[in-house]
Amino acid sequence: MIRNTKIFSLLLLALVLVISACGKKESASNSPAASSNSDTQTGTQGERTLTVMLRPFPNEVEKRQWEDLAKAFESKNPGIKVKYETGDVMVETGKLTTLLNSGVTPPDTILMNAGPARVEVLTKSNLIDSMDHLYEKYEWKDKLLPFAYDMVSLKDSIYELPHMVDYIGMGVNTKILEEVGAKVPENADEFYDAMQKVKDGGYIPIALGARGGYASSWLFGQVLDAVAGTDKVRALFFGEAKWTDEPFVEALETFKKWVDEGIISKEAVSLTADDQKALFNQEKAAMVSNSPYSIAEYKSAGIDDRVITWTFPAFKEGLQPKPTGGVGFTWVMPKNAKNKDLVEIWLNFILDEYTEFLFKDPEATFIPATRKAFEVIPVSPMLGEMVAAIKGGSGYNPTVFIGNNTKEVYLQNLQGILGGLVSPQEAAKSIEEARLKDVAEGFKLK
Amino acid sequence: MGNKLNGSLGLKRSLRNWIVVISFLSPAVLLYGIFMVIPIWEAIRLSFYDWNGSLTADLNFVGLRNYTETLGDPIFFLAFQHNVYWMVFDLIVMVLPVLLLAVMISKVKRGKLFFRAGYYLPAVLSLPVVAVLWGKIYDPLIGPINVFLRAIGLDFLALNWLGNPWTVLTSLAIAGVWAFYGLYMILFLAGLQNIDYSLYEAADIDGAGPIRKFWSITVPSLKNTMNVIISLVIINGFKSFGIVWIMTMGGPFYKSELLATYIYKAAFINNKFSYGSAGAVMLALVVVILTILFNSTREKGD
Repeated sequence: MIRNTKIFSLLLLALVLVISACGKKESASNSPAASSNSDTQTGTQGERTLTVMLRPFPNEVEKRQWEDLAKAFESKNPGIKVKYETGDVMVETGKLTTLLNSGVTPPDTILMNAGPARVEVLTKSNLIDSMDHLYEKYEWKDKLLPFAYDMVSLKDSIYELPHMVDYIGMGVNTKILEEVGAKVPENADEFYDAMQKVKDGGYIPIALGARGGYASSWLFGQVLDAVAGTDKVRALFFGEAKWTDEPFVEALETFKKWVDEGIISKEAVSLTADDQKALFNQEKAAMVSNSPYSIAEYKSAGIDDRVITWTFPAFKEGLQPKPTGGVGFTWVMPKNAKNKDLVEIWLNFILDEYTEFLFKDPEATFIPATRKAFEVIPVSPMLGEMVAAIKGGSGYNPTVFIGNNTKEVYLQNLQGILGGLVSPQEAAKSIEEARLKDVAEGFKLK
Repeated sequence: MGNKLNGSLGLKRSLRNWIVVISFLSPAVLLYGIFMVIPIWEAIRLSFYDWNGSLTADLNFVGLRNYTETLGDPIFFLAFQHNVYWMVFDLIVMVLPVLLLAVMISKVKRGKLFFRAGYYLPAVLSLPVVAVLWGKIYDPLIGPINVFLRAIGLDFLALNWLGNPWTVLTSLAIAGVWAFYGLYMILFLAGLQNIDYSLYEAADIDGAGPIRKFWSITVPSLKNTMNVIISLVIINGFKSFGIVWIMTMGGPFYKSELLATYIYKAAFINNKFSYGSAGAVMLALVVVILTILFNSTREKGD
């Protein structure tokens, strides 16, 4: 009996220790002063820290630019230190929603991949704050590019501040075109002629790595614009047209035709976006979807002197294709952010100072979503061309404007077309069914 | 008076015994309850609501709607078929061949440790590493498989392994087998060490050859190990996720969609947590039913 009592006492003691340890840990983590994140909120000198979450730096150039920006902000705002955290900022992988749902103190602000469908995932789950009051207080609407503002105000309330507008066009290696006796195409006939010559010359006409899905959408978005026209694409995304309508099926058929004719290689479906970049940067392919981020890559690959940025010609009469895009990255404020006052200062700094700061850099890789972006001339000539190309507005990058059900079916069906697994008509029907499902679940752009 | 005292002492003794029993059981029960029962219960409960993942959202009871919607989705059934294929492939490639490998390693006279460690190596690599590695191996342009096939003039066999609907699932399953066979090999090796060597000596005296000894001594002696491994292969066949998610995300055109990727997309990408929970509950049911079926068939065989 004494032995049993001893064992019991020992177990009880152990249990008490475990529970008290858990309790201490919990109370410690609940205490603002003791939390690991909050440790950085207020330093011993009274310095406060603003935590900013970004995507992982894709290259050293962008890393340096962000570090320089932080220094500029800190020198303008003594007492505030900027701390960057990098992580997955795409809603599609589920990590961002998991982070915000986890209960762990989130970063103060997040620069995430933009798009009404993406931001809606966070707003529906009540994970981010509305910014309506900030737009009113600081008159942000007047500082933003009008079309950037339009794109983030498609819903009843605004939950984001656009950071940069995207430009998705085509990078063209003029050296390859010259070598095979082709010129930069100005119309559909010249395009097909150039593609044939590139193929005959032993090069891949258009590099594509569709394994992750998104690269195929960047390319197809441009095909959609050049075949159906910007207005019809807009009507499609705003619920005034169906995927099964003729212009969109025709765009899907064009995509298939390019695979059948070898303009896009059949291997594209199992290549990654990195493979795509490598094919173009190693001069094995003549064309590739590009964006301002590509500028630094061209430079580091040593091909910047022979690559131009270009937009597909109209594949139907009367159309004026535009580069696609929309808002590329956008700032959001997590519901449980600790330093919302600092976020306001940061976002105002971005709107007021970022454009001049960035455009001074010859390796700038963003087009800020500010009105100033069309007033200040960037030092980088290619970025200047990109800015000029979207001055009159841009086309629509589909993944930014479609609902989540549609997005999954759309990306899978693009892969299906690339792999010869589905016909354009079947793909259009499936995507339309998914769109209707999104509409039934409440997805609608204003 | 005496009876009262005896009764009181008996009650105290019984109470103490109960306290001892509870104190021994409580850590395990607490841990099991917190980490198993409550999450399972929550998943089942949520599958009857329309929760979108928001901690502040209202939960609306929708009955069996998530189940009927899931069962009405052809992609769910396609994913189920892929899981069945994956499991059967794993059973064929993972059980007997790995047992043979373990037997061969156990027969090695010198360098047993080297072979054991070498063959176990893939099991210590994390799945993302395995996925990136095999992604490059299957690369249609620069992957060593296609480079080799082209070098020996078999260009027609240099397929687009992860882009071809007929090869993508098998290619992924092979990568999965490579990542996990080491674990099963170690289990077989441990089982082999427990076989009474005198059985082999007796068989030698009776003039039995290596094949006869393998089927009549090794395989029956490893019955319990094999049961564990087959159960694990069935369970893991239906739980597969990491390699597929990293290498193809279920593509191209759903040709490598598995139940786990389907559920993940529903819950964490589309934020339909209740819908995903319904899928997860059904997946768990399938695994439980298959495991019970296998074990009951085995027991009947015994």
